[in-house]
Amino acid sequence: MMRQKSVSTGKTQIWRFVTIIMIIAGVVFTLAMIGLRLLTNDRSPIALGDRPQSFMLMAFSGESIDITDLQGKVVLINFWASWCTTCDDEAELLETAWIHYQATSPDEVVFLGVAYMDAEPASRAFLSEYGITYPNGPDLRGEISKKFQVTNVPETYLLDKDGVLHAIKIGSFLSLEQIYDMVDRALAQ
Amino acid sequence: MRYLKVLLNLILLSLLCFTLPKGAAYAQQSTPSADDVNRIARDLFCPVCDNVPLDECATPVCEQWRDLIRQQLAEGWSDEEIKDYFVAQYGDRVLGLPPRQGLHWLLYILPPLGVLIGAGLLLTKLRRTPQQEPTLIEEARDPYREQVERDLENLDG
Repeated sequence: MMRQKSVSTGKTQIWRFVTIIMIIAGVVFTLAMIGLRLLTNDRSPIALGDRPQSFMLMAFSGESIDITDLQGKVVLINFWASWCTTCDDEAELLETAWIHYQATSPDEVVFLGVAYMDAEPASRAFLSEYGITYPNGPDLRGEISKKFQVTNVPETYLLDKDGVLHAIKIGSFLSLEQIYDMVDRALAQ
Repeated sequence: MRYLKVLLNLILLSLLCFTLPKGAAYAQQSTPSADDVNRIARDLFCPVCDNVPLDECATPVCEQWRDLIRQQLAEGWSDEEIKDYFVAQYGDRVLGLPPRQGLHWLLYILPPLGVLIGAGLLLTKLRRTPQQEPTLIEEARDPYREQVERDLENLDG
């Protein structure tokens, strides 16, 4: 009888031990996963002097543009949307500036447009309406806007020839001079 | 024989009744209704607002997305195809519920697992706790009760 009782107590203790170990392992695993997720999904705001994470833009034209291939050039990245009313104002300015730099420094400046949370047919109609010729593409899965911490549109980011963030413009450009001033400063570096 | 023919005709007629109107309804549905659009839109969320379902959102972007859903439905896309398209284009954040993949599984597994472990621990604890209900014998052996009873008897005597 005593022997039976001691065997039963031993089993209970083993089960208790296993349960505690499982709970601890579960908690540690969960915390590790959350930590890993936080590390890989860094939401710290991007600042001047930072080097943004690389990305690929799948342009509406079909070409894929790897930002790392554009090192050595000043890259203007404009986030816009067809539903954004202030994006209309700067669309023509950006296209005019693009034509200007194509003529003056074709191998030094690149403009990229990223359609933020926009429906593709509407994006294409917008580009056609404003006669935009520089490469534009959708922000697939919101990956590009996430890297720049874009919260609204229009927003423009300018990378210098080393791929470092040189200037940020929140809101739309109001004049061509604003765009020239931003790009020329980066070119002069 | 005649009855058999009538029966066969009736079966054919009933089969047609079940199949034709459905097909006809689909054929007529060239422009999906607002209800059709909202059936999908309620599972998606506005990309630029906080926690506003697409079917309740009045922003231009939501209107544009609902138009896109209407267009896709008119082209014959299924509900799942449309939702998959939106996830592929705009990411998981457009979904009302996190997708059942990768680390998101933890969100589905951990709460019920926690409840199960808690219930198991509670059950084990309850089983181990000895039940101490007072028995008649124990009650009878209560010295205070015995004393009171004796005193009452003496009073009666």
